[in-house]
Amino acid sequence: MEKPRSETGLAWQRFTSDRAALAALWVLGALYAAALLADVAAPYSLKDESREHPYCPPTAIHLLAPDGRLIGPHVRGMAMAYDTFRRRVYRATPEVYPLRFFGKGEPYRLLGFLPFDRHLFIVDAPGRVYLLGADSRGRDIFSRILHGARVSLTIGLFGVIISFGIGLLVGGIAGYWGGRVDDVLMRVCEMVMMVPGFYLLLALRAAVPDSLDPLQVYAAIIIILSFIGWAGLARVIRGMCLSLKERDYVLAARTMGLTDMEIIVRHVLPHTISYSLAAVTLAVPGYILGESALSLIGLGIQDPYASWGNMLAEAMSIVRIQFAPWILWPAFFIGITVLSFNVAGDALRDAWDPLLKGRGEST
Amino acid sequence: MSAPILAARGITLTLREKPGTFILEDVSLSLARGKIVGVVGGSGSGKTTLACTLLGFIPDAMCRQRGQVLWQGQDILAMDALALRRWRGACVSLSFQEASSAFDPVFTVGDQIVETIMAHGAHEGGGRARARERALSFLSLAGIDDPRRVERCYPHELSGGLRQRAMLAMALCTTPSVLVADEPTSSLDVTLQARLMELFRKLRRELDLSIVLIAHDLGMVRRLADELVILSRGRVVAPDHPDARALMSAGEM
Amino acid sequence: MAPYIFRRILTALLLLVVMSFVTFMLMRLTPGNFLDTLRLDPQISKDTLAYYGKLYQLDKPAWQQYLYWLAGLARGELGYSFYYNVPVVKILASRLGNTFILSLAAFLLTWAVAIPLGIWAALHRGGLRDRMIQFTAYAVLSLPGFFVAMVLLWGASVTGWLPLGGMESPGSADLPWFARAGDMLRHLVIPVTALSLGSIALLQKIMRGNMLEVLGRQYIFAARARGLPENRVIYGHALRNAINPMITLLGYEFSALLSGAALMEIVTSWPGLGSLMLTAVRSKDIYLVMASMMMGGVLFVAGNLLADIALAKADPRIRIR
Repeated sequence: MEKPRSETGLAWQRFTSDRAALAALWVLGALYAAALLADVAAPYSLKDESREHPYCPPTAIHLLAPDGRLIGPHVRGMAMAYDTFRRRVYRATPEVYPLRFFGKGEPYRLLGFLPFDRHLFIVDAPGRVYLLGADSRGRDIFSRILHGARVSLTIGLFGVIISFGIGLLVGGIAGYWGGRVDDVLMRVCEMVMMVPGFYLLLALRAAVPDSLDPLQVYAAIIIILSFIGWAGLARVIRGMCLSLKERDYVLAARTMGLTDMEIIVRHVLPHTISYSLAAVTLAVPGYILGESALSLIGLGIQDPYASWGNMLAEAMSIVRIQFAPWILWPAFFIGITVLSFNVAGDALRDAWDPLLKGRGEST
Repeated sequence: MSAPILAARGITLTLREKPGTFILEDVSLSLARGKIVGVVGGSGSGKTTLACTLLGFIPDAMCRQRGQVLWQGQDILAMDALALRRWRGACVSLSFQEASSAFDPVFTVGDQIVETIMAHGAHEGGGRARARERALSFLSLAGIDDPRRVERCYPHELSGGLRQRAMLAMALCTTPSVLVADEPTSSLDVTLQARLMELFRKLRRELDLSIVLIAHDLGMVRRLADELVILSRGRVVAPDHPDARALMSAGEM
Repeated sequence: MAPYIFRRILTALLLLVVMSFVTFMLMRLTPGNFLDTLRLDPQISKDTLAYYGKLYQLDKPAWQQYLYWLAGLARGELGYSFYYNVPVVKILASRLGNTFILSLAAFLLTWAVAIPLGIWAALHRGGLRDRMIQFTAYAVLSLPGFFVAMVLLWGASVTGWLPLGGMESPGSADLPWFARAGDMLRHLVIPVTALSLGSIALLQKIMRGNMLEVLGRQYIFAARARGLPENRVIYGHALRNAINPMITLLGYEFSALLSGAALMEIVTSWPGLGSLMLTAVRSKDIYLVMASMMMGGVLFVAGNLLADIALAKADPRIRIR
């Protein structure tokens, strides 16, 4: 007789057959890998700037030398000049700087401790390769996006983990005990959720002293974000606990003599984990956007450290967007990350509760 | 014997995705005027699907291979949507096992009955007030003692028994000729069941109503019906079929 | 229904009190107050500092300051803004109005577009246009609102069709009232659009889901079995039931919009509560921050209360509880 498929197995199957969800996971994997290996993948370090190339447009990669010979991928030199309207323009010079793959560049510590100095691609000084253009200080936007990924992608994760911890505690207690305890806790959640998020964010941020070092600012932002977000997760978990308590199989298990612990471990927990996973995945975008918003208005991660949000602070000036539209690239990355989390989270939720998906199939 | 007022001839429904699976296979029944036909079967026998089909509904997941539903000789399954819509509720009505699922929870019972009356013009152009009077009279007819109070109630505010009667009132307010009652007593206790059966008898007398009574309790149906049709796994079976006998012994108890 | 509303009002008041307390505690935690910055300014004499210290009760213990402030609230006295050098009430009133206009406009636009869109998508489920709408909605939901605003502003600067932020064009004060209103509407377009886009995407998705779920319910089938016209079934019964759960969202929706409005104000230079609060936070102007928070809270609570009342009216089942 065929071994009956567990519910987890079925759900997993549903999830993996959703191509969009798989694509989303790949994208997220690539982004996190890029963040981890930013030192290698980015040609320049976080603080590397060039006074000679403010707002340099993305450098073109040529294959043919100025005289027509095929010499492989390279970039040309860039010289800054002013046109008749006193606007900055960059003219190409005939110098040729070949693109070196895994060439030597600025040294760094891989994964924090291994001294290394190879970069995925680099050109020799004084040539500059700006894949996505440069910002006001001549810093490579592509490099800073990769380095900034470390901040933007991890703040979300850590914030959610903390919120989830709080939410699990509060929601679990409320759902398990029910009655007055549940009422009181849910009232508290409601009140927290009712507070305008951004206002609370600002107020909490104001309470944080100015004289913190960047790491402490990072930690403070995580704490602030989780303080705002735990209530939503608590409600989800509590709802889940309540419905699980009532489920027939729990009652059946009890009548069959299983202890509370066995019931929890074998029946309640698997459902809880998967449902929580979906809820958590769908919550991460909120944190990423929250951090971006804070950094955008200057209350988040500070220069010279990069986060996708604070890189966009430069784009607050319309004039700058007009002549250097590439400074908007970080927003694209925020969007892609948020989209991937949303797609993956939805797919997770649908995989576990297919009834929700196939609505409208009439009898 | 007069021609049947409602008849099903050779209804065969299969699953759209698996054409070899029959939900109903060559099912026929014939309802003469003023009679009660009982359709009995266990769960999964296709009785609810048959009830839907008698009203011209073919579920999305199924398709009709063969068969007709004849109303006074005309195949209603061949009617266009507009004609079918007019016919439903006015000529043939459906009542449900769970009365609460027949009512929209956000409107009062009275509003929904009035809406049905007005949709079919049964208020004879008298406006809403006339429709409301008619609704009240049918609530009385269904055995409700205080129709004015019930009329103002929301479905969830009524007891199960009252709700059942209100649902019947709604089904009959347009004086249809046929009532298809899907498991009318399955959610009631024995006392209420008996009273409901009594109500059916009264309605047959006073409204000249023909009824298709669908249930799984053979014993109860036998007391009321003039004719029996026994369904098992989508097919009509003879009374001496083993499945039929199983239903019978269940009914005797 | 009355006891239900009463309970909601009580919750609301409790929330406001808690919020005021939390805000106050937060500001107290801040190391350094406005006077510290003033102290650094050599032009201000010690006497002036002492005067301010006494005037704003900064020399009293924390809990007393809080009570003074709370009592003042009851009198309508919201404190003094150190930064702007005027009573808080003066600045708050106009800014509050502006934020309200922005939030309200976004709220109306969201619901006016999302509901019909969601219904339409549900009725044409699975079709090409439905899938396109869902895909677009997904993509739009993922873009940060401030980014959309930036792009729109950039677009406006290139085409010149709309003003570039702010609320009024220079010299508009001299125009007749309808021209002035028109001018303000033109300024509203970008922030309101950027603000509502995300909400519309989310709400239409929920509406579509609700509609599909309700259409599958037994009482809809029963309505059809009664021979009711299809229009009545869909718009009279299905829609009515599909909208109910949305009304519970009204409160949170308003909350999210108000929050988003704050950020949008900063990005598009709309002079509202959000941009005011930012300035206040940056300059540690304690009374202004507290008053802004409270005002934000009051707007919320009022919005939620209205939403609760609307829900009670719409769904008779709620009134029993």
